[in-house]
Amino acid sequence: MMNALILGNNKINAEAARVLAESGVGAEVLTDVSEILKFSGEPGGYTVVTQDGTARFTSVIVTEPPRYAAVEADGGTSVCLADEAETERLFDPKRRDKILILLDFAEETPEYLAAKAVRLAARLAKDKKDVVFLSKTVKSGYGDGELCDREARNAGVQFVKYEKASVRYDAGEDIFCVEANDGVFEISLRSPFLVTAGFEESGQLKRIAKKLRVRGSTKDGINDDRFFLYSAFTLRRGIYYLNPALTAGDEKQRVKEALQPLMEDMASIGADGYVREIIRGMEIPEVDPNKCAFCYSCYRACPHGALEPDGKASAMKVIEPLCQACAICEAICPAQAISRTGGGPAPAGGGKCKIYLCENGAAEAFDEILPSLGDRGRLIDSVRISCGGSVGAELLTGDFKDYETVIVACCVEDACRHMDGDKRACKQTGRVANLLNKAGLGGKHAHVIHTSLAMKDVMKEQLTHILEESN
Amino acid sequence: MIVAEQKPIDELIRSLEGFKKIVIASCGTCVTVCMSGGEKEALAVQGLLEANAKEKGQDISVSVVDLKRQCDDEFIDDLEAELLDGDVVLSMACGVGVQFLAGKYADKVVLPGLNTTFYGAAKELGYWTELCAGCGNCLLERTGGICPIARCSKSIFNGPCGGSQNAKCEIDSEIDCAWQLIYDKLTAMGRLDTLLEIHEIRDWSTSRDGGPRHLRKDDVNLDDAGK
Repeated sequence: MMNALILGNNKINAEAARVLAESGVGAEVLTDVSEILKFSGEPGGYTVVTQDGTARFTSVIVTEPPRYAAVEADGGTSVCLADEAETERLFDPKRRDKILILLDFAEETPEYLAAKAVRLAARLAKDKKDVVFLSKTVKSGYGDGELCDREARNAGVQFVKYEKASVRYDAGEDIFCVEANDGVFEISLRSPFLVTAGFEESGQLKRIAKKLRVRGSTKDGINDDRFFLYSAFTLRRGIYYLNPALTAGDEKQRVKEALQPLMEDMASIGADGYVREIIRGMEIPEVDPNKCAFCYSCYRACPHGALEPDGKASAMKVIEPLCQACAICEAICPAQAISRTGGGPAPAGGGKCKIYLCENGAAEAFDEILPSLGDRGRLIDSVRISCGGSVGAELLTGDFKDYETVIVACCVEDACRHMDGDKRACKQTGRVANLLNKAGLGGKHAHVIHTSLAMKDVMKEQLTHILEESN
Repeated sequence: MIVAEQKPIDELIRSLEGFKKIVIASCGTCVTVCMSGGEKEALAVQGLLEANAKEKGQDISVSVVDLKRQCDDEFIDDLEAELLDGDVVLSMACGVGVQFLAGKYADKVVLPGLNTTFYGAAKELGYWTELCAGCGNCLLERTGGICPIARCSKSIFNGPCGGSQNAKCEIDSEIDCAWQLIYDKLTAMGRLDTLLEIHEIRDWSTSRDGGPRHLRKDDVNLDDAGK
């Protein structure tokens, strides 16, 4: 019997519980995360201890909405996009002033708020308002994004892409002055109406993320903006983030739509394919309790929250259904206590250059470009790894006995499905490059290549360049 | 725990110049946890030393011995054969471990691989901060659990000094003013009146000023003659 804990203070909780019940999923609602005294377990059996007792849930659905606060400048307060009552006041027919919508100001605006902003801009323009829409990036990847953009443009919204902007509030005139620069031109805009996405005040959401050990692209935040995952999935399996603002339509419809992929995934929990499908044949690491220093480094580093302390053994252990075999824990573990039973680097093949290939994109890209490298290709020994983040300095330094050049090919920035594997690869390689220099091994090189299946040509160019340089 | 960082690799290479058979001894406790002297770090040094020797055309051998702890005889005795099977031991332990090994084997060259830095804790993954100065006379009950000796740059007892600005220290804007932290913590606990108590001039003989320190627990160590 599937059941879910709906966690967060959101008016859609009752509707979500109703939709789940319709599909035979029992649901309980908890609005305040501080009531959870202990949270443990794995998908299919998360244990939640509160003062009322212990309950088990097959999954957890977080509904706490991100909270955005208005931007304040010199005493003036902007209209916050997330505040619907405030944005409705912009339609006041008596006010004919220009309306400035400023995104990516205090911080990068999340996609669902950008979508909201474009829709608002289109509605305002159709209502004969003069709307200027300023943003640093164009986000139209969501559902009907391009359609919304076109609609807003046709309605007469002026779009401005900027690089830098500053906001000043003139209290005497009750007016905001926005100075924006696109790298070449400066523009100055003045209006009593400044609409911003504001900045995230995610105190409660952060507390939930910490309690459930969910990692996000922002520190301690919940992941809902990574393009390679469906937006409702967090990095910890069986824990979802439901944000109906991501979809269009009326609220009931939105809740139902947002829950659909979650329920499909929930149905697969416990099925055999759940683990293997995702990790693509990579081995799940094991912790040797005799070597484990019980230092919690792996626990802190694991992007999937897949390690937990085993008090009896005084060591960490891997929660298999949560593990995605990225092996970042293996690279982090200072005691060499974590290793995979089967995998691991292949033996030396006699080339001059060794390349570690992240299986998320680099490996396939390399396979495709290898024939076109010709004779140079024979100089390269390749090893498939689960993630660029699984490569530690000790592994790379060990390679320099046999190789002149060692390359780690990992994902491009923000594309790592283990969150920060590309950054870890970069840092480890950088550290090794530095050590090589200091050790008087200037002829040996450690490189990192950021790549993906779509970047084969770039990867080929980089590889050719590196091989030429090391000759 | 004891926090340490690895010595620069060029310094290690210089200090190991001339040795043909090098044994690197890692230590499985504090320095493993602070990622400076555990087996993994020892392997990284091994890799670099070997590559460096190969580059120079030198014939050396480098092995790694993973000791659980370098400050207890029994752990060392278990791996003594491997440990002594070289011309030199590069100890990747804190200063305690290096001295323990050097003292245990009178004729053995034991070199330090780390710089021992402080007593501290991991604030987050990969970031350690100093919390204790090991002064031998703890006063944390009077300062809200924040040590002015270890965490105030001037180690002052009745702070803050005039250099505290916006809760930061004048020597580095990244360092929190310990006395601001003490004030905030005592306020939060409702024990601000603790600050009204004047700290007497301190007896530093429990600290380094009293010379090397010893501790004997009579109920465990029954050697009365050793007193």
